Amino acid sequence: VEDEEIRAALRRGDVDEAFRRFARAHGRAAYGPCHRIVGARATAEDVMQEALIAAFENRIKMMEVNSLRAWLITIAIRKAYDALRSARRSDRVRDAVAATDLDRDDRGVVDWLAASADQRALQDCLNRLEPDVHAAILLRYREERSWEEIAQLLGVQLDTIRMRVQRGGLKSLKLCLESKNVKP
Amino acid sequence: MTDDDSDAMLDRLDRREPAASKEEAEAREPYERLISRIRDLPDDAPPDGWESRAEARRHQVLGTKPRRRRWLAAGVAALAAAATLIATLVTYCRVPAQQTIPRLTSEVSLVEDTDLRGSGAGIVGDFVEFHVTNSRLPVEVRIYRDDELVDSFSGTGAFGGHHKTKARGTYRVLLIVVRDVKPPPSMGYIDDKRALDAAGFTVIESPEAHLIEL
Repeated sequence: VEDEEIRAALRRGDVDEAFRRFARAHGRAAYGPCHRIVGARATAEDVMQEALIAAFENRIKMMEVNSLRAWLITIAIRKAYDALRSARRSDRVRDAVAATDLDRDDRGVVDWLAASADQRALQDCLNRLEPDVHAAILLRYREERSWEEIAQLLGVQLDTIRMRVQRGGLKSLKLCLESKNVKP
Repeated sequence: MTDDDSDAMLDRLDRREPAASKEEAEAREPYERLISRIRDLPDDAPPDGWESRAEARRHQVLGTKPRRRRWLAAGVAALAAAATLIATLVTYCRVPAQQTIPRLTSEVSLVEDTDLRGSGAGIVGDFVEFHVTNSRLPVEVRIYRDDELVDSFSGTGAFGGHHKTKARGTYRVLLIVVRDVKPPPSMGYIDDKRALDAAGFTVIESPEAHLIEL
């Protein structure tokens, strides 16, 4: 229903209202994966904003995808990995970001410490997966999207992504958790 | 269990079909728990005020072209990365009607030759930018480096401005709503905040931007 209201606002040219609704309805769902991938709240919000804007500016997709949330999460996860890779590219820059984030990100640290050790281990293992596999796992098991939709969102063959999730994803996660002495 | 058996098991699990055997039921237990853990990962909440910041950023992206650092070596296409500061608005508000309170967003615009999406980190020469919206009354915007006032602007309605940084330090932006009385001249960031608050001014403060020289 929310997605239809967003599209209706777009159709009548009320772009600001459409964006507000889009952000309110789905931004939070996109923030979670960003935060878990990049670690710092400020950076995660930055990435989430980029994803929201990038998604929103692709009006054709906005009008045609089944689930705006699933689509936004896919974009957000890819952008989060891009941000992580960029930050890792330069030690100097990474240190600067880390220093700034530490100053401004106390709540992020608190959230992280408050999560159970098992959740932290699972997140760490998820972050070791390929971005698309990571995205597909979240879309499949958290957002409960169909394989058809996931394949369409990621622009890959259905059988390929399903096989990568099951063989490369779930099995890797299980092994990774076992290596951390966490019972999967 | 062979790899093929294992794949078939995961297929059945995915389709929510019952296990084909007792052995398979045992083998799929860890995967069932794993999927349940994924489903139960906590739903992190973004910092307060994120919706208005997202909206402000969208307007900014639409309204301005990405800037390039012109003094970089020719041919290097610098990627402009906007390091949006968390614009948690701290209001020292004595005005009951929320609609009359202007919104302030500020950021340090980074222009780097890497595509880092930073979080406030920048270099000397980057700009501290601010945008004011929803301002029906005149406002004064002051930009401080550490405790020192380095720039000020005034305007009404929606407007923005920027200050080119000349030294590293902690940058802050203060928006003061001007009603009948002009705000007192600056005595430094901390004293200004104290004096403005004591005098009953509506003051909106941006979060800090730490500028670290790389």
